[in-house]
Amino acid sequence: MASSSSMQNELPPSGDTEKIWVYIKAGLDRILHNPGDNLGNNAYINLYTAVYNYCTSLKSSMGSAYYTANDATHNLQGTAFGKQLYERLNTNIAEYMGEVVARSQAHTGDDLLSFYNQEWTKYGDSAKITHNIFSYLNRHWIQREQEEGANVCDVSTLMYQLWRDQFFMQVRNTLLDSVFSLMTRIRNGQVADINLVKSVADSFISLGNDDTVGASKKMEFYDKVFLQPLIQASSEYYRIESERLLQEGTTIDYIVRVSARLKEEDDRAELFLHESSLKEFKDALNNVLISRQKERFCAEFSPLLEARDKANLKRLYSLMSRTGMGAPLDPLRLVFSDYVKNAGLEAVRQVSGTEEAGGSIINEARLFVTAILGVHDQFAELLHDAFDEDTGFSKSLDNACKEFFNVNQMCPEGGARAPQLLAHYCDTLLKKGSANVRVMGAEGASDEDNLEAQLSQAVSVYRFLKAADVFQKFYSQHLARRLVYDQSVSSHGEEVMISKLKDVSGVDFTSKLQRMFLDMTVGKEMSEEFKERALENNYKLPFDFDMKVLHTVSWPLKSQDSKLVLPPQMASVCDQFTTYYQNKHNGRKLNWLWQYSRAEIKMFFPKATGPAAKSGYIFSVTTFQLAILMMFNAESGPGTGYDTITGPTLTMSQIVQETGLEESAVKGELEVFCKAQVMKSSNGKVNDDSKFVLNADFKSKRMRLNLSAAKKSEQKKDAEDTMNSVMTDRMLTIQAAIVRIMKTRKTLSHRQLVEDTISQIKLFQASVGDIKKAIDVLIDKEYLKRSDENHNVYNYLA
Amino acid sequence: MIKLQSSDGKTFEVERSVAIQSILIKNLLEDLGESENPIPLPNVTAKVLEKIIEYCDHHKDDPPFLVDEYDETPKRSDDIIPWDEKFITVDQELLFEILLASNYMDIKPLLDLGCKTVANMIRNKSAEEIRKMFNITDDFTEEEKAQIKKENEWAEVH
Repeated sequence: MASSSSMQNELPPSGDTEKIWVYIKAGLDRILHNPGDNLGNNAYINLYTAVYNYCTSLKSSMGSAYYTANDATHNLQGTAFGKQLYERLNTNIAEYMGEVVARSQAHTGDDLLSFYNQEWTKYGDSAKITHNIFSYLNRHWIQREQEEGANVCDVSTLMYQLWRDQFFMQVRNTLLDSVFSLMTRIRNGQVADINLVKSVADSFISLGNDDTVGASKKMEFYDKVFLQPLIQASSEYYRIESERLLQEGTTIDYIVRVSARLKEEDDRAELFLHESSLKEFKDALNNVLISRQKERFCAEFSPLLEARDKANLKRLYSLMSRTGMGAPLDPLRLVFSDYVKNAGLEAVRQVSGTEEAGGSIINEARLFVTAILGVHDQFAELLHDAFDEDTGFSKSLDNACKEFFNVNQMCPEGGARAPQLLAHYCDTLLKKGSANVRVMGAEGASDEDNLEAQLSQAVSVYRFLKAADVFQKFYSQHLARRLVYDQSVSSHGEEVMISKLKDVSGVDFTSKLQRMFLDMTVGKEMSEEFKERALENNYKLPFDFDMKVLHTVSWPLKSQDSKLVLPPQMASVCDQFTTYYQNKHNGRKLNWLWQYSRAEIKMFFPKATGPAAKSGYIFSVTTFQLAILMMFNAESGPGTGYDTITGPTLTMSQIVQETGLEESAVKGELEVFCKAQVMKSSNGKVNDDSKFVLNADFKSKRMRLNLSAAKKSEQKKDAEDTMNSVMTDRMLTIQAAIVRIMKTRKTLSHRQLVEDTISQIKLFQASVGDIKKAIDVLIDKEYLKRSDENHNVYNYLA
Repeated sequence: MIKLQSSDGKTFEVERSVAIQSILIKNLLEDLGESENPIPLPNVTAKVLEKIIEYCDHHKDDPPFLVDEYDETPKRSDDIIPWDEKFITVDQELLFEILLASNYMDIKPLLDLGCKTVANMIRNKSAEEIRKMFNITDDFTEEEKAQIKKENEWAEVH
């Protein structure tokens, strides 16, 4: 090679810049054409030295080494040589670029891209070596010029600028045409090498990124010469495809096709685009393929929901969410919410009014809650499967559930029915003997697991209640009864439920419930201790006796109004216990809640028939019933011949007098006895003229009978009482909230106070009417005062 | 090991970490790769090269020399460490040859050390004294002198 032979030549002596330049140029040409060809140490050092000698020529010719050293700062002639070398270098490389342009003319299409990439790689190597060979020029003349603000750059940067201006800009259009043609072929399903595009694109990043541009503008060149034209070409390609697809097929076809298309584009973009431009590129495609069709998509949403077409719902959601997680999805969320609401209302309508639901509140509650859960779970699953747990959709689902849960065919406006039903449903799950009501859980799961799963489900809809206070009140009462009557299906179940409720309702509510459990434990110990003490004192309990001591504040139980006169046998035991308790806890008051007490009594009827005629029938009764029945007891014992004696005949007024019960209560019980044929009335009725006697001919197929079940009228009254107590509590809660607000704000307008109160109370929806009432109460109690200037403004009175 | 060859044909074998303190050598090794062949240094005599190698050997474990472009604090010349001080205490001729060679071989810390030493030599000396010390002939005309004095008036101590 000619150039390489000249390289073997001796380094020209310093001073003769023309000869030195010839030497440098030969080396430079060799580097440009064959950067991979190793120069060898000698040639490398010689070229470096030649550049050094060129730049320091003047001083050498002046023959003073000392002078040269000091010259690093000021020497006008030295500067002139640096400038000359820089310009010669510039010209020489520009010529080389012209040569590359000429060679590029022979290539088109992918071939041109390959050519460009090859030349680019080669040039990069050349630039690196050249930069180092010209290191002395970089360090001295160039650096000094730059410090003085001159428009020069280091050798490497200079070379990239020349590539950009003298080569790339000359072939720019042909090159980009080749890029887009390659991409079109890939998009059309043909095989082509995307790496060719990536290499070209990467070169634009390097070309725009040198020391002469600011950090924020490093991508500007790439953006201008590549990204924008790419976006334009791609948008146009997909605009045409989009129109064709919509002409040829349905919207669903379009959704399927476009989803696949965008997936391809996403994957491909990762391969060749710089990460900073991915979003802009995707946005452009999203705009053409999705945003322009969004009305079509929305129209398709309802039918897809109707068909529960998860796959396409998922596609539709994914497409729309590409264009933004907010506004673009909102119309779909609205449709979804409406759809769920209607589905919920319809599900309740279907079970409402059926024979089954009319049977009892237990059935009604079960059907209602099951219907609600069915709808909720179904759409929660859809939310997971198709909408990626999207928070907006999740909120829509919640809102819809809130609406259809609280007000529907079974639950009138006002919001109190749904929480009642839910509370009843929970009671059913946790109460002994209602296992038939429990829906079967997963196969193979233990009863405990099933129960837990069902409790979880029940609690999962708690948060949709608009009147959670109603639920809480009923739940407490149900729990109290389960505990008092030992009806809990398992203490584990109760604990699980409490901890689940704690999560959704907070500790205020559950801590009260937990105190009930504590009383139960303490009571059990006390009961045992009492019996042991009785044994020690040789006091023989006339019957099996058990009691529970409950703290009044913790239990939602009413104390008794009517005074029951206990039968003597019972009275003695109760007196014993009272004495025992007073000794143990001096000063505490013990109230007997007879209406919650139950007894089992074995009865023998003289002429009874049936399986238990001889052994006696066992009746579960209330204490009131027990007191009445005991009056009919014939004197029994050895020699009394009880099997022939039917006992006394009594009138209602006699019974009222003896038991101390209300006449209406006695009447109710007698009706129960007559209906169960435990007693007979002389006139077949239950009134003041009737005389009652035990039915000597009693017969029953069962040995055990329950007379203590609550009457429907009582159940209804209980529910009413509970609601009244909810309303009383609400009034207090509202008053407390108002006082809290006014205490901090001191002065507030009526409207603002109402708004603040509503937003502060989370447990239920405070009504404006109730708030007004509460304000009036607080004015009466002199917590608040209307402002003298403005009647609509309240002042807080400390 | 890297072989360095002085202008007068003497070859020195040094560790890579010593050699690459010269950015010239460092770039060469990166561009061409290491080879058996010695690297010629036509502008550096054996005497000077030996001295430079001594310096580079001593400093081979120093952290890389970084030039902070934004460092606005004035350069100091009284922060020379004792070893360097001792190293650079040589006759004037050798001092200037070291300066030239470190500039040629691109060894910035050594160039700085040399420049600081020269600066310390001329500090507080008159132009006449400096001429005498460096054996410089006064070849300025009277006009030139007046011109220079005028241009540098601002720097005179009043």
